Amino acid sequence: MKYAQVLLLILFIISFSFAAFPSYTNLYVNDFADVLNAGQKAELITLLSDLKTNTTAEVVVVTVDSLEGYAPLDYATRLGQEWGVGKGDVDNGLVILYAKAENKIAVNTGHGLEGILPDSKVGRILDEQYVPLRNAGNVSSGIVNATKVFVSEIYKNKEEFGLIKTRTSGSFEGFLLLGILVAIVILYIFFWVFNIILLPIIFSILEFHKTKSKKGKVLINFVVGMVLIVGSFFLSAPISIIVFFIGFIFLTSILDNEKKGGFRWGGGSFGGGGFRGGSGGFSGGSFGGGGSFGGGSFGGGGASR
Amino acid sequence: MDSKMIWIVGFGLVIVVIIFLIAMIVSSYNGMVTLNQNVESSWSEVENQYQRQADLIPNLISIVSSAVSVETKFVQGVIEARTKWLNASSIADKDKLGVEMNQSLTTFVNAIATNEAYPALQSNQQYTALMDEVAGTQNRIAVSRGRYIENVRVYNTSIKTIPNNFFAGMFGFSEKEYYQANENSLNTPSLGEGVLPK
Repeated sequence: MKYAQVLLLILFIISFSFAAFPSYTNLYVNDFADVLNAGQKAELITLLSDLKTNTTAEVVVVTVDSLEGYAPLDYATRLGQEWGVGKGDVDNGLVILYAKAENKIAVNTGHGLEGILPDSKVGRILDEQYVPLRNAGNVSSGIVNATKVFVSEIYKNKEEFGLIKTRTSGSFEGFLLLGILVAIVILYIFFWVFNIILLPIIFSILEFHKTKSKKGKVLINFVVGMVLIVGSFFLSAPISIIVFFIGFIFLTSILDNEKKGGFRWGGGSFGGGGFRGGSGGFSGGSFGGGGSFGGGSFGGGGASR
Repeated sequence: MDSKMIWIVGFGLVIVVIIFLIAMIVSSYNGMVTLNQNVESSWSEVENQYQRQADLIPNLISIVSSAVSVETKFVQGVIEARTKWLNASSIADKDKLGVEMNQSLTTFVNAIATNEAYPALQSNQQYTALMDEVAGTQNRIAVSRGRYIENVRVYNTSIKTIPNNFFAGMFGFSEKEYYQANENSLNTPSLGEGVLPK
């Protein structure tokens, strides 16, 4: 298990070290190619941070200089997957990517948004909101307008993200494994503790020192050993089982509480921790965009123009 | 060291080793089951997307042929590839023929794109919507197929390396094959981006 995870991690790191995607500097707008003006950036950050606070959906606007040979949708999918845009358990991420050199826009929907934003609808919104402005030479306004419509579509269907899915099996398994490991350690410690306690008792019962023959000594040694092992095991087993259950219940209750606060433990593609803006904190205002994405996953849906 | 102490320590060690071995076998088995499940579930995602593509084809053909005339060989090529895929049974066949269906669809779409009557289609909203679905599906196929192949690779590596290689045969885990498609067969950059021939 552990081995496989390490292997996966290594493969994962290798697979991404080849694709040189930029790292995000903001959770809402990453204008790497300087396409948007300051006012538009501020407007989008407010719009998108409000959206996240109210619906948990994570929408990010990204502009890059070049697609570096990727197809627009392909690049957007990989970027969204690498950043983990969207809340991990509902995958409600949306990447709006504009590439300056190719003059292409790609809008990629996370798994959870494919229902309310099917590819054809994404394409239609781009045709209506973005394409006319792009043709008129005003790409940035086109991006802003299209983003506004995507955001309003998500607001219209916000109840889809109201409920957090049940605990993922991956994290449950993780805790079970942790619990078993802790129990084995406890079992081992108590095993030796009881060995030490039982030893003088057994010796006094057997009157070990009175045996003269070598054969007898070996036999008695064997009996003492068996009694010690079996006895210690049965005495320490209930303790470790109790410890295991207490620990397990304790850990899972932590998991449940953390989940309500938006914490994610393992699982998903980028689920390793990360705190969510939540109420107050850094969300909104000029400091908006701190923290990290929620580990959402992308299946490749969306449209490009 | 006293002989009784050697006995005690010896038995303790044996028990610990047994517990450790059992734990190792269990975790190795569970690891392989998980990886196997990953492969299977990622394949079903690929198959879903192929199916989605197969479902889109008749709509696309009927809309296109009602608006413009396309050379028969392109239409037939897509229909044949679709039928072949629908009749495939094994995973390897489904994947191979799925890639072929994907390619023939791309050829078909490119044939329309170079057709002079293409602007007539471009104004057809149904066609635009369908093209977005086709492009989205092709991207989904590329994504899900990439993940499937990656999962197969991880699984194959896992059952061939220590300690899983000791138990893989015992538990009936064997190496999985996958169809290695031509590098560019799944790249369809010109598709569905509203590129009008000038």
